[in-house]
Amino acid sequence: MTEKIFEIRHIDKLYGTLLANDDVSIHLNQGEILCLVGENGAGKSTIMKILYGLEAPTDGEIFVKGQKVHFHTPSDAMARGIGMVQQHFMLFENMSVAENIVFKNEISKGLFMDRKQTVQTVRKLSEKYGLKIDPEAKIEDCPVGLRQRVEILKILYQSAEIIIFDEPSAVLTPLEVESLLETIKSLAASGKSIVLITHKLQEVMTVADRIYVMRAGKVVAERLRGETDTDELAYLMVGHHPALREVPAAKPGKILLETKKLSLHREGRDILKDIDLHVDAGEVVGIAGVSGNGQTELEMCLTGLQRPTGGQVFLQGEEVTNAGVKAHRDSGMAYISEDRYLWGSAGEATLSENVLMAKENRPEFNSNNFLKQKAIKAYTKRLIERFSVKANDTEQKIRELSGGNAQKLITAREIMMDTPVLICCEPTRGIDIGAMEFIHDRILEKRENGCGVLLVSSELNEIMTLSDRIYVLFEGKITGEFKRGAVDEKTLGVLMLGGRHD
Amino acid sequence: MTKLKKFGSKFLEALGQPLVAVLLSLLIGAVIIGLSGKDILSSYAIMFKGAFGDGYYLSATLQRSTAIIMGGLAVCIAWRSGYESMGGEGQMIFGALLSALIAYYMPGPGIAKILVGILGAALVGAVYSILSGWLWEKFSVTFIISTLMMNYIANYIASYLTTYKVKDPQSRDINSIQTGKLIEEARFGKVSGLFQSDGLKETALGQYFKDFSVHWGFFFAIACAVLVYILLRKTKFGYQSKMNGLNSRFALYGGINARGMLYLVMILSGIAAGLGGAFEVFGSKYRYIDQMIFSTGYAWSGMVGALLANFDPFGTVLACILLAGLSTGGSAMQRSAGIPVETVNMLEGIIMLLMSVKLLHLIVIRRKVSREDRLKHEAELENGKEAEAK
Repeated sequence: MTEKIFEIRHIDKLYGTLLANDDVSIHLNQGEILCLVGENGAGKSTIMKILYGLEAPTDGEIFVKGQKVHFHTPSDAMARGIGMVQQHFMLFENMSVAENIVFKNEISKGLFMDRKQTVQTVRKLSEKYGLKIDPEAKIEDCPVGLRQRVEILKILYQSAEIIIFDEPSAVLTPLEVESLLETIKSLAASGKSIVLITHKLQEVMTVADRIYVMRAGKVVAERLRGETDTDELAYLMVGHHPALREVPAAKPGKILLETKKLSLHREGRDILKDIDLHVDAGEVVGIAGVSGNGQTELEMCLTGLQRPTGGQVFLQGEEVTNAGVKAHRDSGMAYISEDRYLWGSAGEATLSENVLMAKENRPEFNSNNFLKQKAIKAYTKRLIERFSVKANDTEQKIRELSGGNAQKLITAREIMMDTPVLICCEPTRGIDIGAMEFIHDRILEKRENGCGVLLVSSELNEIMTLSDRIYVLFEGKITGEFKRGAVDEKTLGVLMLGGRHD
Repeated sequence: MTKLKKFGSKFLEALGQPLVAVLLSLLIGAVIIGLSGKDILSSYAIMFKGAFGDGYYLSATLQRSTAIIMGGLAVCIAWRSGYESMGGEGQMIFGALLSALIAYYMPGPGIAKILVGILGAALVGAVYSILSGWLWEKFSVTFIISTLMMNYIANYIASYLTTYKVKDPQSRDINSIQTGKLIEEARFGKVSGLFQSDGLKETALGQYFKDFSVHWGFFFAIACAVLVYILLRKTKFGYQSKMNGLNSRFALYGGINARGMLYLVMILSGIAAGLGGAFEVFGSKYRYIDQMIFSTGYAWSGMVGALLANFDPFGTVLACILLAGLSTGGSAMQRSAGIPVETVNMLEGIIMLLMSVKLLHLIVIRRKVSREDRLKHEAELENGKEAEAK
């Protein structure tokens, strides 16, 4: 009989009028890897935040090792051996890895911190769990994958026995994900108990011992890994079977977006070099590449946020190279930014204010520079309904929405701009399967209407399914161009990593 | 019910901190009054009476609030757009000085002197404000530093001019550093005799307003508040500037011209502050007196008012009247209860301190957010590099 290391009984959580958790009961066994899967807003993170003391439950009980507990802060949870690796890391940039790990539990020598001992302890810890790091490196010099490792070590240092991962792979590259999954397995093998919150089913099938599926705040299913597969899980998450997409062939028309020898030279490096690409009416063009190979800069040059150092950009035959964002948008471009918080929204602004962006000059919302508030609200409501964004009110702040719902609203805003050209970067990042399908449908619908769509995505699957043509971007250069069906995933993968196509 | 609740929570969210700040400062004031052996309740009663007790005191409070309101509106415009300018004081000083000089030296009828004077004040306020915008855009000089320093520069330039160049030619007194006094026709008229018609005269209302007499400047300031409200809440500019304040990258992304926004905001906020100076000259002092803006701290009170009201124009008006009342009531308290007026200055200081917790919060949050943004961005780039290396 395995021991239940924690048990959550009949938890309810009410946010205003929204029932985020509805009678949730789950438990975790000693040494087990438990996956919590579900769409955005299904209540996975909420229930774990309650367990970790970040949120108070409206109703219900929590037991840790058979004892009833009430956590008010994460330190309470930590004292009972529960640690959580959050999506946003809480690290001090300009301090070393070791200093971050021992933060709040410093090893001191008299009044001072014993740096030597600290480094040694951290090194031992890292060896014990096989999590390789350099204790003396500064956090600011560590890539995301390493930062996450530091977070894990921080929790292990505080002798956590239960480790909760909240969508840990969302910020990682495919290679980093692989090593994270290895880490999780080895932690479980060394006796730790793990909860993994995710909606990536491949990951679940790789590491999980047991799986809970959540939908709309409830636990809808419990499965052992051996008795289920990704299809069933997807079905349980969405409530229906995701259809396999058959995309009809494109009928490309005239060129809508074109670049000629587009280059960006910065700090002695060629970020972009002689990019020649075009997007025609009625086609979706995908840019495949490992992130960091110039995608961000390419999209910024195409949208006017960045001035290229060489070459030209044409929108519907008109040169807009150095004209600025407004000119780009005015000549018929909409743009879904890859980073919804940094560029794509203002968290403290209301939903309708976020929706209005770049439309504030349109006569349906503006008469003589006065805004038509009613029309704006009505339009926002329409978008919310049409894209089934989970929101209470058009006047609530967008930061109150879950990440996926915010993304849906932003995507909705840009798609509904009804422009001939759509530049679409990571349009479904952090979005669940149901919403992803819906957004893909809208993108294809735009294509049917004779618009040109440029799709930048780190999900190779998304690129392969939607694109009529694919460019491969590697180190700022286009290293390949393929028509739909002319290339397989493996070849693309090799090209994306700088290999040769033969 | 839920609607009521929602309204309630919004109300609390908006008014929670200002209310706490004012109450807490009154509480601390009470302790001090108590310690000095005076009666707390009667002292506060005297203070309230001395600020709003009858038409006469109300007039004093409203006249005092005029320049404060204008300073507050200037802060509303600039800060809501993300530009934390503290330069209202300098702009107000130049506005006051230039309008006093124009109205004194320019020939012509009184009304022309007033109009040109007001225009000049608006212009000089805008120009001085543009200057700090330009310093920021060209040389990334932090707003807080440039505008603070420019306040001193303005004050000393004005001091120099009034001492040596444009000193009142009629004055023999070597110690009075001021410009010449405006003629009667070149001053704001007063609104008085409210509710004094035969039917109303004997009512409580009529009695209250018996000695009411407030110069036009106050009413112009209210009109400005209405204009600013419309501008910020109803127009495209208001929307774009708010978005710029909340997330300047988002504004760029949407095609808002950042440079145009910066200068437009600085111009408007400079105009508001400059007008505040002119209203003070035409309504109260009828000349520029050395230090008249600097030592009274009008612009700072305005900033406290705007912060108290979370940059809502009407709220700013109310908060500024309250702050002005604190001063006028404070002098009454000194006269009648023998409590030094410094006690009241301290109250304002405490309010400012408590509100600047919010200010700090605001600035720190902005910094933190932009830092987090940067981190995230860098992390992603790094991320890519690592994958590349592999």
